[in-house]
Amino acid sequence: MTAQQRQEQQLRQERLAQLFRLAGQSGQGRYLLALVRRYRGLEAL
Amino acid sequence: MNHVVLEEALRRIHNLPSLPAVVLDLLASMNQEDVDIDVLAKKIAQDQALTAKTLRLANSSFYGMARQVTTIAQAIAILGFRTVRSIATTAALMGTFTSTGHPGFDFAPFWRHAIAAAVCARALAEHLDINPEHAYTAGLLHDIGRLVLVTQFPSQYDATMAYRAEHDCHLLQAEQTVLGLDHAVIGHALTQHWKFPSAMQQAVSEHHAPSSVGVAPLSLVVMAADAIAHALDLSGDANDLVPSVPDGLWQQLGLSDEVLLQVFGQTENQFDGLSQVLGG
Repeated sequence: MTAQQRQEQQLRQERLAQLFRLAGQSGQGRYLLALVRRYRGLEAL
Repeated sequence: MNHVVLEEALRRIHNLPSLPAVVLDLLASMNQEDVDIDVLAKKIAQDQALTAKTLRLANSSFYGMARQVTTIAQAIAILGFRTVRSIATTAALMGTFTSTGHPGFDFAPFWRHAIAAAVCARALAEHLDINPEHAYTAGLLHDIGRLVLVTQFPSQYDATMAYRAEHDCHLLQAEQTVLGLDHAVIGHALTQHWKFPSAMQQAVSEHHAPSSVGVAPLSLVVMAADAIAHALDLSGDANDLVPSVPDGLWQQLGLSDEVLLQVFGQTENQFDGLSQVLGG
């Protein structure tokens, strides 16, 4: 993975954290967040 | 005091124009097994504005037609009746509320989210025993009550958005605190006024229910589509937030991780094309 790709993934990760900052506290929200991270290929981060 | 009295909101909803009869006929036909396509095609064709919008969408690159269609009958012959019905109802519903004169509210992210939820609801419905067109239309309209509040109570809604920004909460919570009611209640009243099929009215009403237990199947699909559309960040709204996901939602839907990942992909693919066409 290039440095640019790593930076893009980091930005995606930060955006997801922002989007889920209220919903991510419940089990249902965490499940959706995990699926979206998998879909975006962010599991390794 | 920014509270909105429910009776006043209902009075204003009843003063809003009804949907054109042809749109009501198209919606009603989604429940029917035997649809007289010729009769409905003629009804669409009699409404010049609706015909123009429908043909513009049908001729867009999204549908990839080899040659331009100039009549509703041609569009039905090439794209199929269900697709044309979906295009016509989308065009009619999106044209119902004017975006001018409300500088505090950005209509583009609103409709982008509505389109994302609509295509996601349709994709989910295709994996369940649910009418995909119902799911699409209910997804498109799930937040429509917000447009009633923005256009009918603009100063109160400005206060609602200010409250949300100040308290970093969900818009639903801000509505309930500032207005004393929320867009799901108002959306339900509007879909009743518009005489939508009862399952769609229920889905609009229930899409923020705290629990999925006892919730109707179409409502479950709209709840999930709403959450997924926000999670995929398709609205273009920098302040977007994933809503609270109702207890038990994913278990009630019963779809595997793999199916949901497939739905995410279908949603993004459909959304890209359709949002360009619809100008969301």
